[in-house]
Parts: sequence; structure tokens; C-alpha cells
Amino acid sequence: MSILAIVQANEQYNKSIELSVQRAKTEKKYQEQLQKQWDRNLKNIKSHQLPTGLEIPLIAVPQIDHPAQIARYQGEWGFPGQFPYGLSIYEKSFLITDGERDHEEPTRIFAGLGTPELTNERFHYITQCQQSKRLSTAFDTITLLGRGADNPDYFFDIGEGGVSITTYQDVQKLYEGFLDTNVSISMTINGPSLWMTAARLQAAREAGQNILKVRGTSQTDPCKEDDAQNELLFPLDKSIRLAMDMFEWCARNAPLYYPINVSGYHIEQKGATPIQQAAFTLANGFVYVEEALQRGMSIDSIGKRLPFFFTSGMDFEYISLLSAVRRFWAVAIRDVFGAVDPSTQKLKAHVQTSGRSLFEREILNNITRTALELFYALLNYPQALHSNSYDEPITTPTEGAVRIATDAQAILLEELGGFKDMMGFLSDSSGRMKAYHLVLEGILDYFRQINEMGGILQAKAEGFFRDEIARSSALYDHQVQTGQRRIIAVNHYNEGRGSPREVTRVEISTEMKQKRVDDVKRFKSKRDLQKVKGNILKLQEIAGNGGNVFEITMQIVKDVTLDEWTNALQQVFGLYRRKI
Amino acid sequence: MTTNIIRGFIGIKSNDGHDAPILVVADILKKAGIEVILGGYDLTVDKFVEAIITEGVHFAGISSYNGGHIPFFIAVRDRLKIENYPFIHLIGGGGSTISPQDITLLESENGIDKIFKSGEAGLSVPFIKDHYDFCNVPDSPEELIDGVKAGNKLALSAFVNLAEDKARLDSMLQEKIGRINMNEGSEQFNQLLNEPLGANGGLVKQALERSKYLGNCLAQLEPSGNSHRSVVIGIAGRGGSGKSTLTDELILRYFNDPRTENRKVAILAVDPTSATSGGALLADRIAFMYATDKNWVDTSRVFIRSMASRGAGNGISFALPDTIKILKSAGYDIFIETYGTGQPDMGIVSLVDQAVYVTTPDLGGATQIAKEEMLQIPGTFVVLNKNELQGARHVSSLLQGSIKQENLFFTTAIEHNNPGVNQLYNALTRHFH
Repeated sequence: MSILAIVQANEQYNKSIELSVQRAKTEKKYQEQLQKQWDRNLKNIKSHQLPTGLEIPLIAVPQIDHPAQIARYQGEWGFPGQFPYGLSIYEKSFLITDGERDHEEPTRIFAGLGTPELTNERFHYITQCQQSKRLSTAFDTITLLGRGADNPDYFFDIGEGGVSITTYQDVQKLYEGFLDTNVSISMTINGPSLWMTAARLQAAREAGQNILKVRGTSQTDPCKEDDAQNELLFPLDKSIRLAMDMFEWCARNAPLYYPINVSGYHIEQKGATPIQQAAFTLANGFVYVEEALQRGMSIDSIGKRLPFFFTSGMDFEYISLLSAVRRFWAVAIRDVFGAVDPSTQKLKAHVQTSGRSLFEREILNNITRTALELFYALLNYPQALHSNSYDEPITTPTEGAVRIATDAQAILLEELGGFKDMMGFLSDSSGRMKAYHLVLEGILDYFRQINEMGGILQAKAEGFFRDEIARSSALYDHQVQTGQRRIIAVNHYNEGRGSPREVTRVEISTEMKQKRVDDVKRFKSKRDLQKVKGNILKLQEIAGNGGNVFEITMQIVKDVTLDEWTNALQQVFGLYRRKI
Repeated sequence: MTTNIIRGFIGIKSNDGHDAPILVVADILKKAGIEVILGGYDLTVDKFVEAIITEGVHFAGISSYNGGHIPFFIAVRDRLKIENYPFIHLIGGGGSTISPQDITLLESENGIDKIFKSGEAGLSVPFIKDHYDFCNVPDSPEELIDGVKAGNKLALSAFVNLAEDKARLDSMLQEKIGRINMNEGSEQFNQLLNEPLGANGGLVKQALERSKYLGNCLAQLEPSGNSHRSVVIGIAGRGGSGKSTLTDELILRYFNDPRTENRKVAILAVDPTSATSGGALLADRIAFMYATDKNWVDTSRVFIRSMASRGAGNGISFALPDTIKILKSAGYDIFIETYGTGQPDMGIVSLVDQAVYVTTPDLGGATQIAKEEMLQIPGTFVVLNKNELQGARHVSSLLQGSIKQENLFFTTAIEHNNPGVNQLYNALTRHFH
């Protein structure tokens, strides 16, 4: 892939804005043309009444004194829903007119605790007040590493930090009552993603649903695992191949499903600056685009099915981070990969507030931090949004804390005058423009460096991303330790502040863990072992000869357990070599 | 007795990949003059216990963030008791998920020495230095000899500690006595015997006696009663050339090879001692993924020991010859990994049956190749690793011009079942017949 082409396309685009502004200053005909477009856009904007009785337009637009400003606005941001999607990929989002919502609310709350049964209960609790049901699943690390809950070496870790899943039956229990196709289920899983996605799709099928209509997302982002999260089961190149096997299969058979979610969140949590998060995540996205193109997929079928995932944190850059990422992506997808269909150019994103920005001391302050990060996130018009619970520094979120985190979103979107009243009410502010340009330039600079290193995979192999992240992480720690970065009640105004004395923590009891072991053992013992063995051999054969591993996983997932699937493929591909 | 160099093992518990805290601690400990062995993340109780025993450490640190820490700490403690490990000193940390109540529970009711809260990493050094006794060299090594012969890992490890202690005393004595150039028994020499040795070294006399005594114990070790001879392979090369990964891949092949079914293998991984602090960061174990995983190899037949160079400047440690002798007497084949800091790792060549020199495509041009001393030794295997990187073709044709074809290998060690690594393994196995 030519990183150089991506760099040049963006440089070219930036230049074209300046050219267009210059023309608008001098060419009469061009001025007229711009003015005509502008008037057309304005004419389409409807008005509505605020609760206080005032009448306002549904979309915010700047006051224009000269056509050059039109050229600037359209080139830099574009109207909501228009290229380069700086303001938003949709024309309207979050508005509530006459008490009616235009779109689904973006709220998507991450949950997973202990057993599939408990997590299922939590899902019912979270979604009871949501109009549209959108689940997000956290798995325990045993599951994330493709292991079995019945492995005695890992007994302590069962259900810690997420739900424990080993068998097909576990997946059925986890999503019971949510397998209807109007529920969108997101799964934060990477190494074992093929197995988990296959189980989830088969569970939907068994519940009588049409897989063509199943909605949801699997994370499946091996590149960022290599950069930050360290949870790959197989070497990176093999992990990318498996991800693409699923991507290709879903494009044909589950076209509404998002099999890959290109994730910057973990990169940021590991210590990356906002710009590093943006640049490395975009780079990872282009890896998948290139791999899919090599398999003969069209840019349209790729671009529409490749959503992203970013952090919203306390740093200034977050005011415009997602906007900048969207523009950089759209320019490359249009001008390098030749996508003319706007819906291919539009980068869809889920945003989560930053876990790293939360602290144990004076723990309720985390509610304020999260609320402000939500506000920054919303300025960028993401498609889905998760707010962290204030107690996350010390425990898997408790029920009460989850409720407050969910309410925060509703307060911002439904109570606060702003998002519900006028699309983009602060979007093209001067401060946002500054942050936007800083991030765009920062991304471009990283892409130039990656180009000099011979490409994205080459830069990864040399540890470039990891080293950059480690450097930023050390700096951040230093700033927190020395107080250069102010953290209220932690390193500033911290006298007499303490850690919460009485905190409810989510406890996964020994009985609960034992139940998991028993359930998995029972499932395993009830199977026709000859058949299981045959299925595993089939899986290994296809993995070895380059066939589609997802397709065979769909066939065998009902009786081959997660740990068996992992072991079988590790025999073929070897282990992922950890970097530290 | 003279104060030993402090050795500690630190790692992150199973199903946990949060490696930021432990990297901070490793750096602090190294700078405080401690030899810290870094075990990486996702370590099971088995892996912790195995590492603590074979590394012969004075203390171990467990980092945990993901939860499940209380039973984990207790399990490690209990297993060390069962294994009769003499130094059950466990400390821990990892973040706020270990609550104040958990800390109380672990410290006052479960014999965990100390849990450090987030931000307290700096307190670990004074705690370790104030609370632990670092003399883990056995008082009467004779008792260990039967254990070594039987291949008991605890005895082997204790004996290696002894060899390392002897090497330490010898190099201190060398420095003290060697400079004066005198005869034993001379007046000047006798005078010297009552002088102190180093900061904590006691008197010269005591050190000499101790060294002699340890030498006698080592002399009592006999070659193993095995029908086969132990094979010693030395893997040298610059840092970052992939020696540890290559070693790990070779160990995997060793265990897949029916010819080695009844043999045991040791890995001795040498890393440099910091000249400024005297501490060391011994991090090779992280790369030994297959060699430490019971799902892939029979870990009961693997013995891994990380060694700090402690002043030896040629890729090895002064304790290496005695350590080889100890492991040989227990019937182990041995893979030695030198530390490679750019200097030629020539120290290894005379100690091994087969020297392997690992290099990468950024080796340089013809002049650089002519300067690499190990490349000039006939019979050394030369491995061009990371053969997939840019520049490999240029360097490989240069090497082909100067190295015999049967001694030259092209590998991509990070690739599973890499054909180049297979060829290297097969070439090495001629020593196993």
C-alpha cells in the first residue's frame, strides 16, 4: 500500500481549500456559484420551537459576509452529512423535535460480570429504559485469551472484569432475550473473535432469526492488540488473516454486521497522546482496507463495514479529534481508494470516555470528568457512546454507578439545551477549528514518518508504534507525579482527600466460579467426542491450507469449545510472540 | 558472611496483561543495584513457582490489576512452602483494584510481606533492603550434592547460587590481589589477608577461605551417570537480533524431537550488569514462551536460569563455567544465550560444543563483517535472523561469500515452524547422537 499516496492526498486536499478560498476572493463566477450552493443549503434548514417558546433553526450555520468564508466552511468542515464530514456524517443527529427523536440514541453501555446468567440480568437492567436496545459485552480475560473456564490453572480469574464464556451454550444464555435482530450487540473481543462471533450468529439463527439481518459489532482488531493490548492468540499476520476471513464472510452472509472495529481506545489507554491514538488507529484501518482489497473486495463493501472506536479524554485535542479523523479518512478513501459513494467515505465511530482519566481519590469527581468527556465526544457527533462508571478505578462497575453513567448521557442529550435543539451548535467554533488543524497536521506527520519507515506493518515490526506509545505514557506519568498535569484532589488541592472507605466492589464468589467450571465440564462431557475430534481436524486442515477459517468455525462452533478452537489453531499458527 | 547480590523475580499474574506498573518497578530495582528477573505477564502459579525456584531469588513480586489476586498470592505462597523453598518473601502491587481491605487481609493474615499501592513503587527498594536477609548461599553445600545428581531443581538452583557467589568473591579477590602481584605466604600477602574486601565483603581472609571451600564443593560434582553426553550450545549475537526467540524456538523443536525424549535441557540466559548501579534487568524469560508453557513442552525437563554478567565483559558471566559443570553433572543439555552489547561475545566459544552467532540484516557492509570476530572462527554457525526485513539480500550475499554454506542459516524466528529454524535445529542435532 502506498502510505505516500495517503499523505499526498491529504496534503493536496488541504491545499485545495486554500486555492478555493483564494478563488472565492477574486473570481466573480465562482463567488456566485458558492453563494447559490450556500443559499440552497440554508433553504433546507427547518426551524422548531424551544420549550421556552423561542423559534430556532435545526442546524447551526455561520454568518457569512463574503463567499470566501463559504469556501472555507465547506472545505474545512462541510455541512452536516457532507464531505469531508468534519461536522458530522449525518445531516441530523441527537435532535428532538416535537418530543420525537430523529435517530437512535447513541447510548451503549459496556457490561459483563462473572457468569453468563448474571450478565444477562445486567443487560436487562441496563436496557429497561432505552428505546433502542444496544448491548456491549465485556469478557473476562480467560475468555479474551481463548481459554477454558475449566482449566484449573485459571480458577482465580474466572469472571473477573467481565463475563466468562467457554461454550456455545454460554453464549445462548448470555444473550437470551436479546437475539432479536432489532437488538444490536457489540462484543469487545479480539483473539477469539471468530469463535465468539460464530457462536453469536448461530445463536441468533437457532432463535429463528435471519443472519442477513443480524446487527452488531465484534472488535477483532489484531493490529491494536499488537500496539497496546497484548491479547493476541496467534502471530499478527495470521491474526489479520483470520479477521479478514470473517470480514469477507460477513460481507456476503451477514451484511448488516460489523465484523471489525478499528480501535484507538486501547492505544490511548496504554498511554498514547490523542494524536498518536488518531494516527495509529487510522493506520490500522488502512491495513484492513488494503488486505480486503487484495482479497478482491470492493472499496464500497469495505468502507461501509469498517467502524472505528476512539477515546474522549480530558486533553484539548479531544474537542475535535473525531472530526479530524473523519476528514483524514474520507479524503484518503475518496482520493486514494476511489470511493465515490458518500456512505463508503463516512467513518462511523463509537466513542468511550477515558478510563485512564479516572482516579481513586475523591472518587465522585470521576462523574464530572466523565460528563465533560461526554460533552467533548458529542461535539464530534459519534454514532455510539459509552460513559465510564465513576467506580471503575477500583472495581467492575456496580449497578448504581452504571445507572449514573447512563443517565449522564441522557442528561446531556435530552435535558441540556443544545444537542437536542440545534445540530452543530458549537461545531465550527474557533477553538474547535484550532484543535482540528492540530490533530490533522499531527496525523499527517505520523503518516510521513510511517512512509519513511517503509509502511505500516514494517513500522509495527520495528516497534515504532509501541515505542511512541511508551514514550508518551512515561511522560504522562511524570506529569501526574510532579503535578505538571493537574489532577484535582489527586495532585492538586489534595490535602485531606482520601480513597473511599466504604466502596461496594463486585465480588465474584468462589461458588460462582465453581459453577462456571461445572457448567463447562458438563457441556464438554455430553458431546460426541469422535465428532468433536473430527471437527477439530477439519478446522486445522482448513487453517493450514489457507481456506476460510470463519466459515468452518460457523459449522463447528456448537460443539467445539473456545479453548479447543484456540488450541487447535495455535498448533497450526504458533503462539503470538509478546512484546513488552 | 559477605553480603550477596540481591536477586528478585517479578511478574504479572495469570490472565492479566497490565504491564505498566511492573516495568516501572523493574527499572527502579535495577537502578538500586538489584538483579531483577522480569517474567512478563500472564504467569500462572506454576510459572511463578518454577521461576522463583530455578532463579534462586531472595524475593518475588506479583503484580495484579484484573482481580483474583487474593487466592493467587495465597496459592503461590502455599506452593513455595510445599516445594520447601527457603525464601518465601512475596511482595505485590499493581493498582487500586487491590483494595485497602485486601491489603490488610494479605499482609496480616496471609503472610504476604507487603503490597505497594499505586504511586508507591519507589518504596519497594528501602523495603526490600531493610527486610530481607540476602545470604541464600547454603551453609553446607555438601548436603546438596545428592540433590544435584538427582536433578532436583531446588538443589541445582542453590548450587548455581553458590557458583555465582564464588565468581563474585573471586573477581573481588582478583581485583584486590591481582594488582599487587605477590606470592601466597609472603609477608605482604599475609598482611593483605586482614584487610577488608569491598564495601560489604568482609575480610580478604574470609573471602579466600569461602572461595576455596566452594571450589571444593564444586569439585565434588561428578559427571552424570547418563549414557549420553550433555551437549552445550552457545547462542551469541547483538542485542535485538532475536537470540531469545530463536532459543525458544529451538527448545520447542527439542521437545518435538523423538531423539531427545529422555533428555533434559537447561537455558542459561546472560544479560549485562549495569556498570553504574551494579543491578541488572534480566528479561530474556519473557521470550521463552514455549519453553515455560506446559501445553507445549514438558516443563519438568526444563531448567531456566537468568544470569547477570557481573563484570565479565565478553558476553558471559564468570560463574558460567561452574554453572555448566553443575548442570552437566545433573545430565542437562545446555543452551546458553550471551548478552551481546556490541562487543564480540567471544567468551562463549571455548565453553560450548557449538557456537551460534545470530545477526540481522542491519549488520552492515563488508568491512563490518570483516570486523565481527565471531564470524572468523571456523565451525561457528552463522544465522541471519529477521531474514524477512529489508536489506537481507545484500547481507546474505556478503555472508555467503565468507561463510561455508553448511554453517550458514537464514531464519525468521518469529514465524511458526520456520524452515530456516528447522534447518538450524537439524544441524545442531548432530551433537546429540
